[in-house]
Amino acid sequence: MLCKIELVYTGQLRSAVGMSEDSLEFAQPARLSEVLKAAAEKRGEAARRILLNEDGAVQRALVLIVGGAQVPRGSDPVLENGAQLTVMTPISGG
Amino acid sequence: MRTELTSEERAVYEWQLWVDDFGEKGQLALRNASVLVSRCGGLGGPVAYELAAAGVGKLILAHEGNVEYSDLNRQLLMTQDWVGKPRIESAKRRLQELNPRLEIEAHNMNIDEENAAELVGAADLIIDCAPMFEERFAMNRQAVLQRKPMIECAMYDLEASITTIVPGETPCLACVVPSVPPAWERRFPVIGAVSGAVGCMAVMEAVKVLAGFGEPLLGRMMHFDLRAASFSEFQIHRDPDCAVCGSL
Repeated sequence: MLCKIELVYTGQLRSAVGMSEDSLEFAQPARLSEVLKAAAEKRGEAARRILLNEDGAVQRALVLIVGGAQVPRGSDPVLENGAQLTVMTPISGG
Repeated sequence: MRTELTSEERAVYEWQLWVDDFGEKGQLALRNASVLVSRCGGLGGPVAYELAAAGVGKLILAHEGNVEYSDLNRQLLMTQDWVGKPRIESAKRRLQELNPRLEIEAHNMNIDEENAAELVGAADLIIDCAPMFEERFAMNRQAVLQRKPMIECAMYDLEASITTIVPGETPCLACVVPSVPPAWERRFPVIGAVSGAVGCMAVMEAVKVLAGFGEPLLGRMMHFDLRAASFSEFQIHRDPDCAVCGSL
């Protein structure tokens, strides 16, 4: 059974990819980092620069939300079919 | 420390004195409070204005630079006749017109690592409205060191987010955002009503914390997207390895 992950993009990421909702399918439940790398691959260079650092690892300064809670920093949970991942790029005043 | 409201204050604040759980006790708490707002532009301007209207006793404002035309879509304390003149003077003038009882300490400078300790030290509560993450991190560090509550609010385009930080109890800013986000840019899209909306919410957080009632956004972040008119809330966590508050 395919594993479908729903993504919500906010802030500069939403502007960069031109959409606020997205979805990705995997052959099996996928780790958070795999989902983000797949999103970067699917949505191109502008998304990649926001989601990943130069080494291809997930950017530290993202707020990642799964199941109504921020994913603790440093953890890489497995996302099951139907999971919703919100990717927030921190914003500021001005 | 004031223990009674004047007859003028009772008249001015009559409608909010009727608010359940707030009343005269809450009003006195505001009257005796000092709040640091940095800066007082699109976000901090509405924040300072609502704090002045609510009857906070003292505002400490920090904002460098002169009014520009491009400020005027959102920086409600600035006026077109003040273009080219110091923002902080325009802000002080507008606030004093609204509330002549308000004490204002106005600084024509932005928060940085050198002045943050003194400015935070003079306040009971901080509202972070700064655009630069370096300013935000400097305030956060001092808020944590001095155990001062800080309201963290931000906007972009038609989105905004807000949380309330109580050092040692909730995540601090560095727990949520450990470094300057690479996607962040100094100039960004926003409609003034969005910064005004989240600014008003920030003031309500401050009023609740200072007056000790209601349920502030502790350990919770609210995010809204006015493009879709949708509001959401999620839990945020303290980072045990946080370089700023991990040892508290």
